[in-house]
Amino acid sequence: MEIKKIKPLQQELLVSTALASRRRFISQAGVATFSGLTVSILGSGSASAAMDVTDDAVQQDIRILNTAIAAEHEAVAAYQVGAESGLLEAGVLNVAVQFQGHHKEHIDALAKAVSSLGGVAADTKNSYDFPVEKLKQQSDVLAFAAGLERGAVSAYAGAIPLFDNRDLSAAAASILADEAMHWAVLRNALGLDPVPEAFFT
Amino acid sequence: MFRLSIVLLGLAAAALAAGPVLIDGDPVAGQQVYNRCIGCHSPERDRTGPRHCGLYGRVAGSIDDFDYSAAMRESNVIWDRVTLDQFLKSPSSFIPGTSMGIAGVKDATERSNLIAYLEELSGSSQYCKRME
Repeated sequence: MEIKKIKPLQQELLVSTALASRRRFISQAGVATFSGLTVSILGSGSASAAMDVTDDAVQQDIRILNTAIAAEHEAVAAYQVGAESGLLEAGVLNVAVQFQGHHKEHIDALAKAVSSLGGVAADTKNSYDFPVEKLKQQSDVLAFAAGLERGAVSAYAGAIPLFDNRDLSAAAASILADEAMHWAVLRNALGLDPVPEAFFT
Repeated sequence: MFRLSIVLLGLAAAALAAGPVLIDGDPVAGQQVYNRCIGCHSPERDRTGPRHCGLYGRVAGSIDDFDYSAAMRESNVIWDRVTLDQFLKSPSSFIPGTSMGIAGVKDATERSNLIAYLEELSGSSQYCKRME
């Protein structure tokens, strides 16, 4: 129940942040005047930061979001491979499908943010090159998924400091937390320490 | 004493002019750092980012069929210790417009180790040879 409450809010944060960022860019370009609406959405801190926003900064934020979308598409495809492998027990399959659903929701939210910034969201590839020849048993699928989730945590951790719009950083941090939970659950299912360290490196 | 100081200052200036001194990294430690790259990269497969087997010495943006950013394709960069060090330190500063949307590897030792690992993937790596 709690998840249902949080998801729309998270998506709203991404989209409203992106919209506000675009408004700030337009304002800088002299196309429209900076409106009080932006202040009400982002708060005074973000509004003051708008003074430094440039076209390049918006474009960079779009590129970061699209790289994240591309990786999320890959994750959705990977979980599909796992789900169709016939190697997963029913309970594990349910969890895998649930995690895949999370990645789809990440894509939806990130894509809306990109659109709101005036960009075009990255699309899924026609095909993905996965090491399917190494998937012989359930633990292989779980290890494969765990590797992708660990990589996703790294990618978001690397991207978060780079967003010009700090509210996008906050939204990406929320997604990172979700990926980290996936990773921990998969490690636990593999019989590994789900949270091996105090710090992620 | 004054002459010695002049000589030392001259040597320091020459060293600075020559650019950063890149130490030999540890590829084993670099493989650990590489775990941060696996969200988008793999040694042998093109994923969100291009594969890394054969990276060292490769012209940036030159793998056929990989969908690079225009910035990467047009960068005229050849990947070696110096260019990798600069890129990995801050990708978007070294190649503005790159799709590699991460802040970078800020620790110089970690970068050296990572570069050593990438160099190994392009040289003696039996793993990459098996994938060819």
